[in-house]
Amino acid sequence: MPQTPRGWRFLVRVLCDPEDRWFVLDDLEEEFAEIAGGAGGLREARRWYRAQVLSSSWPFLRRRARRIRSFLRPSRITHKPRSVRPSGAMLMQNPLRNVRFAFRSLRKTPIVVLVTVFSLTVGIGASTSVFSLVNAFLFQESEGLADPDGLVAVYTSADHGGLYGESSFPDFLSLQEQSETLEGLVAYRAGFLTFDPPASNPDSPPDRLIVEIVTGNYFDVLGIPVPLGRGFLPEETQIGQALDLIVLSHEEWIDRFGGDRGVLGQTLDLNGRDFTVIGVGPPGLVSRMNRLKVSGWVPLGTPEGIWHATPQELASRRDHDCNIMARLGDGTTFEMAQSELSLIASRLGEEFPEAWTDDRGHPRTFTALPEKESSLPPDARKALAGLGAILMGGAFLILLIACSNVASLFLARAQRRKQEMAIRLSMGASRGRLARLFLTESLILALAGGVGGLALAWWFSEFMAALPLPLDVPLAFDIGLDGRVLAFALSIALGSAIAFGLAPALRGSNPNLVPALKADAGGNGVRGRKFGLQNLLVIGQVTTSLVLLIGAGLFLRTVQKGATLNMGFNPDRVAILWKELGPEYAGPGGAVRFAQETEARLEALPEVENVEMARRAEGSVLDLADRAVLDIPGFENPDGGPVVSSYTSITAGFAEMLEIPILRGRSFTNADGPGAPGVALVNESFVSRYWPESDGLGETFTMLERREVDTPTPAPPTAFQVVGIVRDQNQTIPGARRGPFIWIPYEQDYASRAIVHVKGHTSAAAMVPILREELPLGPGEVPLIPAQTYEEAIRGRFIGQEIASKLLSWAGLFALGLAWIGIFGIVSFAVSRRVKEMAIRQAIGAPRGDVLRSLVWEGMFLTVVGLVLGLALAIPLGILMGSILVGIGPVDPLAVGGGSAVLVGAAFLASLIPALRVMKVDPMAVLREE
Amino acid sequence: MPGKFLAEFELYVMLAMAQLGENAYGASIRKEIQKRTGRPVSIGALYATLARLGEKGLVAFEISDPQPVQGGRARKHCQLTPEGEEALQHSAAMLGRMMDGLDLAPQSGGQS
Repeated sequence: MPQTPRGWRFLVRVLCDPEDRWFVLDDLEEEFAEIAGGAGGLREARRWYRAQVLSSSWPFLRRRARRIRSFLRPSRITHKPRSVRPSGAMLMQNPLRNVRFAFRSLRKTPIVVLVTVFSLTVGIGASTSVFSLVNAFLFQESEGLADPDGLVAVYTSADHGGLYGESSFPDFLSLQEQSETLEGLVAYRAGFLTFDPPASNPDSPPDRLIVEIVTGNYFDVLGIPVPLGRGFLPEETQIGQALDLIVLSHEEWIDRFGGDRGVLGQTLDLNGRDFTVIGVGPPGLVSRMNRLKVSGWVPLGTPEGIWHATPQELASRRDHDCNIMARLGDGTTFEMAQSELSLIASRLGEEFPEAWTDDRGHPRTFTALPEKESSLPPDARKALAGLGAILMGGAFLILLIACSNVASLFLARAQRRKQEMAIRLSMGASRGRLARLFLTESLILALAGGVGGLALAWWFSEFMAALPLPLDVPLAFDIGLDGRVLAFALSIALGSAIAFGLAPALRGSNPNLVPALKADAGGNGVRGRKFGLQNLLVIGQVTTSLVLLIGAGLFLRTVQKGATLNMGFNPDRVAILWKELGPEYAGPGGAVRFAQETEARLEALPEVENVEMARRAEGSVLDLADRAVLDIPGFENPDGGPVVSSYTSITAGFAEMLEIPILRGRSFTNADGPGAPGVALVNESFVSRYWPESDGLGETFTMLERREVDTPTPAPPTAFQVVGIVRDQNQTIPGARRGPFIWIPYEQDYASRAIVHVKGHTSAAAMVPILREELPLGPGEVPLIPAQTYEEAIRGRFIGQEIASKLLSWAGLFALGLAWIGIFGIVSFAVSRRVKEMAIRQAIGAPRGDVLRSLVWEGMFLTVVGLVLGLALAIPLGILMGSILVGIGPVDPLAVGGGSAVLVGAAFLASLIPALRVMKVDPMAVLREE
Repeated sequence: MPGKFLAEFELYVMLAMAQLGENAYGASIRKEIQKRTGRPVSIGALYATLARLGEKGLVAFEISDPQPVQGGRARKHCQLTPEGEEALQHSAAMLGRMMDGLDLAPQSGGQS
């Protein structure tokens, strides 16, 4: 019988509706044979066949389209041909029937189902959890703003040249006046108010309120409704004459005032002033500043001002303390706004050259960002994105392991169902249908795993929300499960169903019919290929678990090292507290008086060894670098800009207390007081940069201007003579002093803050309650660094790494567990196939040890291969993570060795247990069975 | 009987089935129509029409047992349902009525 043309036949198979596919092919074949037998012969028949297929393609496709349409509109009543007998093949076409069939067959193997769903729950849960974290920090949109697409954030470049700095209030006013593309501009910043509770409960201690200090148009421009009461009116918020008003946040209103509407019109005693409550904001509204949870909104520009928004500060173009948000005008694009901002910036640069030049001598710039990219500072965003990518990678590795585990389970299951599948195939089921059946099962399990994963992610989000932050401020990061997280979980569940279901589906639906149909489907005594699919999966699992374990180890070591790093000083037994000096210590000499009083009071306590002050909490989570503009005789900045150096001021005895290594010269003494000649310590970098010819001792320089971060202080130009040289810090430490650095005596400085350092006789922890008690918060004061041990303050820097190490440790453990199950399964399976072989070997006198060893080697061989691959991968990974690893190299022996040891130990157990089990079987009993 | 008017090709298919009786299946119907009208018929269009007629309840199908020869296959046999026969008669009657009085007497065996 002549063969119909293969390619054209295939086209019919693809295009034709499955219900008629085989009948159409048979009909075509019948006529093909007739024509081939006629005068035209085979050539004519082929031509006819081709013409038939071509002319049928369109009807075929139309039919398929109709079927899809009617499937999507099931309500449409159609007449079913009643006389068609349902055959088995047709049964399986119905997706619902497929599902029912899948449930039936899954019920037969509850253990497989349980392990599968558990593995997938872990895998999907891990990636969904991490995604919910990334989602919360990077993708979350601000709520409650009207038309957020029309809003842009405007940044002024900072002193160090970074694009996304805060802006000064005079610059804001200039923008407001000059911009034509930006319609409404608002300025805002965070502020703190001390709340004296109402007379009804006079005993409760004063409380701290975090507020956002805003221009009067804040609610109008951002389009935020004020559901209760009203927002600010223009006449109430004139700069310089603004009234003491407050719009409470919804949450504060509920928590503190019990949702009482009567609060409107009441006055609250904040910072000793009467603030009138005029409204309550909508629920869920948080500050625009890094999603800070605020208690309310108060007007900028009150006559007395508020912390960091005093009239003097608002008047200075050098004081960059405002954030700016603006609404694009009608018909203006983001690009138009940005180009206009550049124009205004260059105009301001000409008009105010001093304020508009940064430390490198470059002119400042304005930069705009769309609102949705501005909820976090762009630099922090980048760092978070990097960390997120690593965690996401770890989570996906777990998912991969889970999928490969499930895949090997399914492969084994397919192996056992070979006979069933062979029967189905020989009864006329198509391969595609069997594969679909397998995939339906995978899909059901994956969805179950997805639901479990979501539950896990929900639990994780609760856990993360409860994690303390290194700074004592309430941030509103909603690590909840929103639509995006749900969609993510669903899509990875579906993806994993395909990932773990496809190989078994393709394999299981294509058994070698003849041997499979024979009763002896178990395939006794046939050894699998060394690198069969399942073995490859186990190797992959070992590899990924090792990578995760080493990754976790590296982070763990970073955290551990980070706290004990030699920062160039010794924080042992020292506790610190950030003290913002109140009005009673304002003006020259105030800080000195505070230092003397505090030192005298605290050193009188028996537990306290020593008390010193500094203006900087070096190496801590809030290590603000104050800077000074210098005049150094004989030195010109090559690029023409001013000479700027970081500096701090310390009391006499501070260098000894923290064991700051002084290479040459002396440290400060009590003689270096306010009236004495100016003296300074500088580090080695300072000497080598500015006085390369000399050893630095005895050289002089003048501090022309001293700044607190970027804000100039009223300190007059002062000359300092170098009396000591400090050793440079290890530059690999994050937060190390980089480049030139100056210490001057605290008594010769104009500080508005003091970092109180207290050293105890026994421990730093014992000093914390003393600091808390002896130095309570003043009105409106912010505990930027609350009383804590210095080590805690340093560790706060590594919060990201600490979270990462915790998460990766969990990930590594899960991965290890999953790989363990995988190895256990492989060895058990291999062992069960070799029971007879082992029995024969023992019967003819092989020592038990030899037999056991050969069984254990089954699993260990795969482990060793995986280990080698894992090590090969972990090294480049370590190098990649180099920037966030602290104090350790990329190939940290402890992390790598520890991870490998844990893995090998676990793998050994996983291989030994099934092997030992089989050794218990009496070889004679096995042989007799045959 | 509204809604039961048949399209031209549907009418051909049903007439061919009526002609073939027991032996009506895909290939035979296709050949019957082609033989009688001389117009090429694609198997795809035929099966699409059969499916549509099946949905309308005018045609029923029965999968036959495999042919009693080596490699014999099952065939999907088609029959007119009572509704199908009624619709066919109705259409034929309508056609006759429309042609009444016209000089368009059908030529039998028209294979031109």
